[in-house]
Amino acid sequence: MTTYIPGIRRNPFGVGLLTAVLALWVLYTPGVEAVLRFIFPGETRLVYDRSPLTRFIGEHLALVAVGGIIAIVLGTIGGLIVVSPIGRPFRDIVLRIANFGQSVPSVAIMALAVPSLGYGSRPVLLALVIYSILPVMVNVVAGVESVPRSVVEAGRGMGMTRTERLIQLEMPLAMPVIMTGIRTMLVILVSAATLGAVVGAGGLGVPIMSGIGSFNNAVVAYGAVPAILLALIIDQAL
Amino acid sequence: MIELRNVTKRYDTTVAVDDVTLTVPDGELTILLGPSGCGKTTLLRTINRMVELDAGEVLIDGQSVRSTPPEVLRRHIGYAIQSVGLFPHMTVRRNIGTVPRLLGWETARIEARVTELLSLVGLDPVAYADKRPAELSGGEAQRIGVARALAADPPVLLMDEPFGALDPINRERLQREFASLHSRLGKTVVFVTHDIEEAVLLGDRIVLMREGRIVQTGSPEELWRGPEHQFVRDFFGDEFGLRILSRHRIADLKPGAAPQGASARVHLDTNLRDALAIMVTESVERVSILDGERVVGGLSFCDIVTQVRESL
Repeated sequence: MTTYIPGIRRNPFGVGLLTAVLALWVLYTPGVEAVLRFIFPGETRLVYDRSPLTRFIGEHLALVAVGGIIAIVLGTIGGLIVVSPIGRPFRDIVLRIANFGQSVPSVAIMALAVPSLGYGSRPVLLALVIYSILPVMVNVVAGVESVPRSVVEAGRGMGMTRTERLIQLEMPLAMPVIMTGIRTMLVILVSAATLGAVVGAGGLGVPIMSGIGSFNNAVVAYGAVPAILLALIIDQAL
Repeated sequence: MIELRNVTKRYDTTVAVDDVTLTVPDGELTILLGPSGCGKTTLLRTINRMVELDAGEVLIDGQSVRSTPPEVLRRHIGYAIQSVGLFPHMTVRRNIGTVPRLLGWETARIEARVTELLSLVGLDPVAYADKRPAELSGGEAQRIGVARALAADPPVLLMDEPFGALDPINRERLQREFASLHSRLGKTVVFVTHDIEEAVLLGDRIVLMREGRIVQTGSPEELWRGPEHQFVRDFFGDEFGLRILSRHRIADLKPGAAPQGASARVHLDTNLRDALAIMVTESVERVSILDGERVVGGLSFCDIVTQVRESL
């Protein structure tokens, strides 16, 4: 029998520390310049100065949040449908399609979507959602299917309806597995969202792309470090 | 009263339950007994519609179970299974309160009922109410399973090998506790097992099944005295008589004269099987019967052997 330990935090101290470092990086530019000057002594231009980092991280968080929420909603609904009696015949084919969605490079989806959706955040969101539905859906399916049969049978025998069994038994018991999927998905999204800069959606990809374009590693690090911190915070906090 | 009339259930090509007709009287503990695959669990599950019939009908107090939606029906029938199926993410309190919650009881009433039931199954409510199933021993979990099945005070209780997963010592203790619980509560119980010992110990009536059909129905004593088929004799085996002895106390027999001189002493409430065991252990043919501290008679090896067939 699986033991369910609710609300376990792996390292709250780590999350606090990472968040503090991220906040300093975003808000205290002179300090960041000092650090980058120490690591990249040869560079004259150390930070991306056409727009503040707060703007990029804001855009980045918005992309991840919107893409993530859409993926969670669609992935959960999709997962629940294929484990229901009605959807079960489609379980394998749906998972295969979702798997295919993840194997198509995000950049390709963005490029293909631009003609119809235009530049900006919409093609990026499309790519992010297609990319991240799979980890959510797979884990919803795995989570619900991992619930001991005796538990569901007992619930049925005591007079729970299908919906009651789903809400009171299957979902709470599947939650640790589902959360693992959501965590993985959000970490992937943070890095995938940096590609949004290519089609003009902004985000932390803007300083990174600029740094790459001018062969300036300091500017690449200026945008990459907060993206890494963000991914670590999400991984630790969820 | 539960009536099963010409109940049949098929799975693909196999017939799990084949035209079974059976009446379960109110307040009795009826055992569905048989080798695995004999259809006893399937038959049990037709009563609360966990299994839908292919033919025949099931009536509870004269009303067809099909006239009530399955969920509503099941909330009024207690259900306990071998693997317990306690909900691992809920406390003992919430587990026991499941059916009352489904029935929309008020919180205070559920709370009072949980306390009452934990005491009833011999667990301290204060110590156990907030535990999670993972913190319970097998025996404790099984007690909670029984308490949960009794939560909404259903008149009918269905139990599918509820003590099957326990070690022998715990199993016997829970069986005895359950027997006394049943005699106090007077529920109509249908109890599935493949364990002959358990069936003979607990059953008011035993329904012996084989290959989806009933072979013979009766009290353990009736099956012992008058087996209608060789299968009954073979299934219960040579120890059947010994097992029957464990159902009866010395007080059920006519006492003989107390033996002269010093002898082994057994209490009036001792069951006959244990009394026999004491005789064997002490190498005596006769023991003194005690009522409290007073010797009220004697019991001999011959008394047990001769009286048991006639008077029990």
